[in-house]
Parts: sequence; structure tokens; C-alpha cells
Amino acid sequence: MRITSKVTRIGVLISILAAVLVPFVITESYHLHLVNMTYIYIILAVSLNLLIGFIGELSLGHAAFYGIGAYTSALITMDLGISFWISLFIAIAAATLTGFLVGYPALRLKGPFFAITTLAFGEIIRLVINNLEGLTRGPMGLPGIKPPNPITIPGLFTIDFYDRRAFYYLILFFTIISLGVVYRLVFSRVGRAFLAIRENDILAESIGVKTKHYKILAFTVASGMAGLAGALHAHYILFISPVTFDLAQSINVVLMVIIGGSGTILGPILGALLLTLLPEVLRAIAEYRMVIYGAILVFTIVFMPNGIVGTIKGKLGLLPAAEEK
Amino acid sequence: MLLETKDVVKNFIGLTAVSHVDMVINRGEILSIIGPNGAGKTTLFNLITGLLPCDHGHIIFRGEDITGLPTHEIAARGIIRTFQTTKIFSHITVLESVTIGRHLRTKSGLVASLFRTKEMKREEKETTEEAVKILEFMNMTAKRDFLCDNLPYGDQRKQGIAIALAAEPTLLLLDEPANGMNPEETIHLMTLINKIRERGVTVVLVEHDMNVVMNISDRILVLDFGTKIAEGTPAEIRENTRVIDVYLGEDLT
Repeated sequence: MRITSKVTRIGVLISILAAVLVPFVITESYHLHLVNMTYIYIILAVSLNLLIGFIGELSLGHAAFYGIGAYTSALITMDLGISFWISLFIAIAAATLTGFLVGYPALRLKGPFFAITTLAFGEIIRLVINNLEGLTRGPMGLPGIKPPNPITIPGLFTIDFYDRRAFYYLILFFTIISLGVVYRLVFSRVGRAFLAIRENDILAESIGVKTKHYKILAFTVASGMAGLAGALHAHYILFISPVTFDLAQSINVVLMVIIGGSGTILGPILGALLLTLLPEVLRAIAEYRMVIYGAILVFTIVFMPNGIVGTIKGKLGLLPAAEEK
Repeated sequence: MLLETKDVVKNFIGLTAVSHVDMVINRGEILSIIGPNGAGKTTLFNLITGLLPCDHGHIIFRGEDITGLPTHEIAARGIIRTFQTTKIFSHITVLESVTIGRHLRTKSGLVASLFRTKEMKREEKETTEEAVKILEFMNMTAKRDFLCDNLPYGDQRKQGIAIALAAEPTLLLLDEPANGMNPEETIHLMTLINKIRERGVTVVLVEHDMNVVMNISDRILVLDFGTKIAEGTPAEIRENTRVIDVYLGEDLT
């Protein structure tokens, strides 16, 4: 079915190779930090894309799962002294489970109603983190998170994650895994079921797709991946506070997906890259950042309703020119 | 007997869409359901496939009561339908849309997809092959890489049938398949429906094109205001004065 699969494979290989070389090219510590943040946002954006781009439901609460992952891993390592390499998976599990518990009832709703419900859920999580001061220190944030425990191979070397370059490879590893998960999921029977739901859920149900089941599946997987991003964030920045996981953050990730091109693999990657680096470029006029974001969003919706990647595909005749919704 | 509706009733606010309908569908036949607009034909399809709940009565398929089952479960038992709407799937190719129709005939879930198991790869290959075969059967091979949105009207109807066939139904419900087709396409459609029946599929169609209905049906059932007013062979229906009154008019007799 995919005639281009060979081209894709070579493209992926070259990209990975280039990514491995990044720390040798970008030596400036702050620049490497930006790349690391971009990767975390890529994990968030590609996972949210499962919802927006593949089952066709807009979630405005993605940052909540990001926060759940971050706080779970941070608190477990700090309060219980458990290693990051275990807490990471507990964080993913916590976000996955929450995703299931929220998705199960929320996905009875569709369109704007679902979006509002996820928005409300996101706010609830933020408020809980804000007010559970005994546990999370509330709005003051949680300092003193430890980076991942060093990996020592006796007699050979020690990988110390205080080093940004070491962390770069850790995030890169999980970013590749995340992209692999999304790619394999999308190009499979499960992915076709997602597409059927997005395109026409009544028809999907009529040809035997358990639409509810697949929607919950997509939501749960996406939540788990956001939890992964959260845990990485916490042990990279070493400080977390509720503002990182608020509505503005959820919308930020939505913008990455939509501007980059929802329903494509490359779109959210491009969107994450653009919207993480853009504020840096616009640093001098930081106060107007949101204004410029707004302008970009309006521009995208008016002139590129399928996002950047979608529009390019459209020009190549791989997508219908414009989408009426 | 493949499917039976017993005393099925569906009320909408201020309107009885389907009123105490007893219908029998025999294995291997082509049955047409006709009647004026608003007679409850599509509603009857919606009731059989579980898209709408029955207010009263039972639907029995292969001896089992399927009333109240979810739509995907009814589909899994072998009842697949098409829709009147042309906008089926928009942003995917024709071939992809047919592979989606293979959902019930394949099994790979989350784990198999993530680990690309041998079985999953085999299934993927088979899915594409089957979809290609179905497009061949439908005479649509040339359009396999078209985006669904770019298909002409008549082809969109055929694409709907192709997706349904991919699910290998026992009972196929076609909702106005000839709608929007030109006379030539309509002739092909009739041949196609006969070929589908030869594959062992029982076909029920809701259709306004009397040429199609009278030519291919083994039996015809006539609805008016949700009530069954006649049932019989095309010849019998043509002669039925009540049917002529409410639907056919004088010209056709």
C-alpha cells in the first residue's frame, strides 16, 4: 500500500543519524537545551495528534497528563527515593490510567462538548496540584528534583545526566520510541479504525469498528505518552510548577498539531519545532508572543486549513485542496 | 429465513416512523423495500442495524434476537449496510477506504501493531490483496488511488458498496444505491447486485428507481406511513391497486 515505504525508511535513517550528531554540531549549551525542549514537545504533539488528527477529537487537557507524569515521577523519586528508571514507568502508568478513567466517560461526548470536558478536566488537575500544598508545594513549585540516576558500566564509563548532552540522547531515545509507537499504530488495522472514526463514525460502527473502544484506546495511549514527556521534563528542568501544565500549555500543544498539520506524521514534529523555537526568535518582543501566535493560528486556519504539512501534501495532490468542516 | 422483524415499532416525536412491521428476509434473495418519501424505509434499516433503538418488537437474525445490540456487534454477526449520503470517507484513498472495510475480517490489535508480529504483517498483506480484489470485482481498479472526495457521484455510491463487501456480509442492506447514477451506471449496478447475490449474499435494497426494483427483485415490500401495505413479487406489486394509489401511480401499470 505504501509505495514510498523505502523512501520513508531511508528518510528515517538519515534523520536519526542527523539527530545523533546534533550535540556535536550544536555545542552552545542553551541551544542544546532548546533542542531538548523541542523533543519533549514533539512527544506531546505527536501524542495529541492521535486524538486531533486520527480520531478527530480535540482535547484541551493534554497538559494535565503532562503534569501528572511530571509530578508523579518527581514526587516518587523525591519522597520515596525510588530510582528515576522505575519512577519513569510509574509516571507513564499513572498518566495512562488517568487517561483511561477520564477518556471512558468523556468520549461519550463529541466535538465541542468533548473539548470543553477535557478543558475542565485539565483545570481540575491544575487546581489539585495548586492546592495540594502538603504534597506538591502548590504554586511555589517543586524544586530539587534529581536528574536520572547515572548509568555506570564498571571499568568503562559513567553517563551522568547533569550533562545536557547525555540528557539529549535520553530524550532522543524516547522521542524515537514515541514516534515509532505512533507510526506503527497509525499504519495498522488500529490506525485504519482511527481514520474510519475520524472520517465517519457512523459508517465505522456499521462496518463493525467498536468506535468507543478505539477512541478510548487512542486517548489512553496519548495520555501515557504525555506522562512520559512530563517525567522527562521534570528530571531535566529539575523544577516543576503548576503553570507549566495549565490551559495555555494545552493550547500551545494543540497549536503545534494544527499549525504543523494534524493527521500527518511530520506535521506535529514540524509544529513542535516551530513553536518551541519561535518564542526564542521573538524574544525581543516577548510581550507580543501571544499576539503573534494568534496571528499565526488565524493565518493557518484561513490559508492552510490542513496545516503546513497538509498544505504541502495538498499541493502535491495527496490531499484535497481544502477541507470543509 | 435469514432475518425476521416481529411487530417492530419506532416512534419519533409526533410521528410513527415504523408501525408494527412484520418482515421476513429469505436467505439468498433480493428484496426491495419501496414506498413514498418518509414511509420509514431508511428507519427500518436503522432499526435492523441498531443505529436506532426499537420502541417495540423484535428483530431475529439467524434465529437469534439481535434487538438492542450495539451496531458494531450486529455488523460482526454479518449485517452490513450502506448509506444514502455520498460523503462516505473524504480524505483517504479509495483503496484505503476498502481496507477499512476489512476490519471485521482481521484481528491485529494494539500489541500486534506495535510489535509488527508475523501474523500482523500477513494480515496487512492479505487486507490489501482482498481490497484490491474487491475493487476489481466492482470494476473500480482504475480509481483505487483517487481520494474519495474526488470520486464522481455514482462512483461514491459504488465505493460505499465496496466497503460493505469488504466486510463479507451475510446480509447486505443497500440504501438507495442507484441514487445519483446515470442510466448506464444503473444498468451496471443491476448486474453488480446480481453478482453479489451469486456470491451468496442476501441483498435488501431501499430504492426509488422502479426500473431497478422491478428488474432485479425477487420480492418487494411496500411501506406507507410506516405500515406495510403490500408484499409480493414484482408482478404482484405492479397489479396491487393500493400500491398504485399511494406510490406507483397509473403510468407504470
